[in-house]
Amino acid sequence: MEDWTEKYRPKTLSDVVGNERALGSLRTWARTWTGEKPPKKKAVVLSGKPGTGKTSSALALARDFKWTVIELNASDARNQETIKRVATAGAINETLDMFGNYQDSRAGGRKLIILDEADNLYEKIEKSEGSASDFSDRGGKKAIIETIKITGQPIILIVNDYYGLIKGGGESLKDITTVITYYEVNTGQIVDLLRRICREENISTDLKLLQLIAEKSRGDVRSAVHDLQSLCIGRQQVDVGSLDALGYRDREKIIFDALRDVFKTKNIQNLRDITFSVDMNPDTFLLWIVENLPREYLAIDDLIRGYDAVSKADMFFGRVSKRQYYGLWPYACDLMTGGVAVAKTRNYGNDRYYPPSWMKALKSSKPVRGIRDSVALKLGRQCSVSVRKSRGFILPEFISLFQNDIHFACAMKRRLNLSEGETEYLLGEKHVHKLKEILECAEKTDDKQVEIENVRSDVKRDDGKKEMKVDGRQPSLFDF
Amino acid sequence: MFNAKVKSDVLKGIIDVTSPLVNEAKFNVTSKGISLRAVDPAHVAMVDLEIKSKAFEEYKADEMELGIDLDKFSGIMRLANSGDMISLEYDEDANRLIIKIGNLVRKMGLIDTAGMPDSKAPNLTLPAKIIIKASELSQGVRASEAVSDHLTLSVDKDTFELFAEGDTDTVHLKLPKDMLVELTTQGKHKSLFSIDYFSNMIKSVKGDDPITISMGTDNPIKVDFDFADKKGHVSYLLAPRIESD
Repeated sequence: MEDWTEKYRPKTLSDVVGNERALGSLRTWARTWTGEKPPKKKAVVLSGKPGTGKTSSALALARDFKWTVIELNASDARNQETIKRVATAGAINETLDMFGNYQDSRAGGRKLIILDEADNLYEKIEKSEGSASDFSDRGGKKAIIETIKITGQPIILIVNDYYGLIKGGGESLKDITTVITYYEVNTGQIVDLLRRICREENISTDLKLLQLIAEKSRGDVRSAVHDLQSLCIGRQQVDVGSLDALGYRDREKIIFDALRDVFKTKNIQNLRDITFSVDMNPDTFLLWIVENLPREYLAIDDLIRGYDAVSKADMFFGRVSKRQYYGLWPYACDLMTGGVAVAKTRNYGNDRYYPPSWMKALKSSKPVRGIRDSVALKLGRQCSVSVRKSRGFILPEFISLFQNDIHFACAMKRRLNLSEGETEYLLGEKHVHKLKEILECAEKTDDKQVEIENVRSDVKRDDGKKEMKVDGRQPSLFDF
Repeated sequence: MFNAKVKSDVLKGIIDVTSPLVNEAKFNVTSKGISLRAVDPAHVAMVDLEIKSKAFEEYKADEMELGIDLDKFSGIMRLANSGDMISLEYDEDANRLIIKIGNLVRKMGLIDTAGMPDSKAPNLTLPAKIIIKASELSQGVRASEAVSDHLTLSVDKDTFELFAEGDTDTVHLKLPKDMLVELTTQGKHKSLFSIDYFSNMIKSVKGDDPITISMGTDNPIKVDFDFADKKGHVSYLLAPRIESD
């Protein structure tokens, strides 16, 4: 399914939601580029919280001014070399667009260089051992500054945290760039957008729901659209009631923040505090990490180290439950949060986290498992074995007999006193058409069967008597 | 369907001319041969490559696209020695290219080509045309690399000149018309280019092989040459450097 945040990404600057003032400054800056010579401020920094429209407005701007776009984001390794090869090379040369047409800058044919998440560059040397590819962003900031100094093309840096960009060798950026701040988008504007999306998608909804989603997003348009989409999957109509489906949303908010911290930062001290603030058992938290780890760590080496940390944490959880000694929890916690956090050699662009599918699967299969266990219990009693053994060893064979032999099924239904639901479960989807027959037959034969059995046993007894009689014919010694 | 046998040197030639500019490329395969047209990630240069089916020992193909990760492919080609016969086959079900080098079978997953644009050959009027021996040109470019990161190419009716200027050092290569294979121009022309792009473009041509240069004033430059025994042809387009004051 198409991601709505991409599908409804604004096509032009005037479609961007909120932040009119910032959009105005951005447009003004872009106009200074339409002359023959580059302006004084050759780069702008768009700073603001996630989901406030920074990347969207940069892309929309390029479209409005018919500029070619080069985008470097967190999914590219942004070390000195990549920035030089792509951004710097692009900045000092004229442009061939993606179709190979020549865009002469004197005729307004610019290329816009977008460096997304520019505050997320790791400056440290973090070359992973034995791996050929270097995913770190080493020396990235220096390369960005140099590029801005010599560029002949417009550059946009996008950051969540302006201070993070300026500190640690980025001071000179203050002088050579203009900062444009993006604020949280107000609820009314988000509601308008959500309503427009619903209209386009032919989904009927009520305003109250949209308002709730918008409020919960706290000015983050992207998360609001994500929330709306996850509510609308497979539905034509949504209302406030549908929100109960995501009942644990508020609690999830905290867990999402915690996950983000684990995956995006390397500050172990911080992570320890977070584990305490998350309102769930550490072993449940582990499930969340495991579920989202492969979605986040796309580089295979990072993923391997991440799983390694997780598996070690799991060993400690095993020891905790085996010895019932909870003093081991801190080791497990540190491994699964700190261990996973330091496993990465770079930052990733992912910002969607999902609840553990294992837990979901468990929840949705609960009724079925209940029936299975009750059948296993009845069967176990009959065979004098534990539920576990009956479930593991007897039930599979039993099901097979039950499905293929209708007389057996009738007899068993009566003998084990199986309910209709249990009978249906045993038949499975393939043989469910036999259900009616079995139920009828079991009812009918309830009395008959007893008779038949009685008759049978009589016959047996008779046989015995006859044999005895035959035996009786053998003269005994006393006959003589 | 795509099924071909080819000498390793031809494939290495293809990699040599494309991999300096693009990491991933969409090869268009037809019954007549293979072509590729791609713009580099910085949107500065374009490579336009064509290789005829004659360059292959055996060649059978329907019209199709192959999305190839060139870094990976060049790694695989390093397994082959010069003169080795390589068989290529497209496995449609798994979207893989099956590469056989001797007894070695290497299956390489292909990239989805859906998002890759089809570039057109741009319509440019480049009034000057120079044909020059590769060795002459690469000497000048190699010398310039040590001095600066950009060079100026200029041409008038008698000479073709290459000039690079660093902070203290300069390089000047002046070739009169009789040292060139061909020189036709209307008037004087001059353009500025990044050296690393330019040197990547010409580095696979060796010795006396001719390179054709088409240029104008402050316009892109076009560099053309043959490879794989003239059964392959490559044409580069490089956007000029923005002149800073």
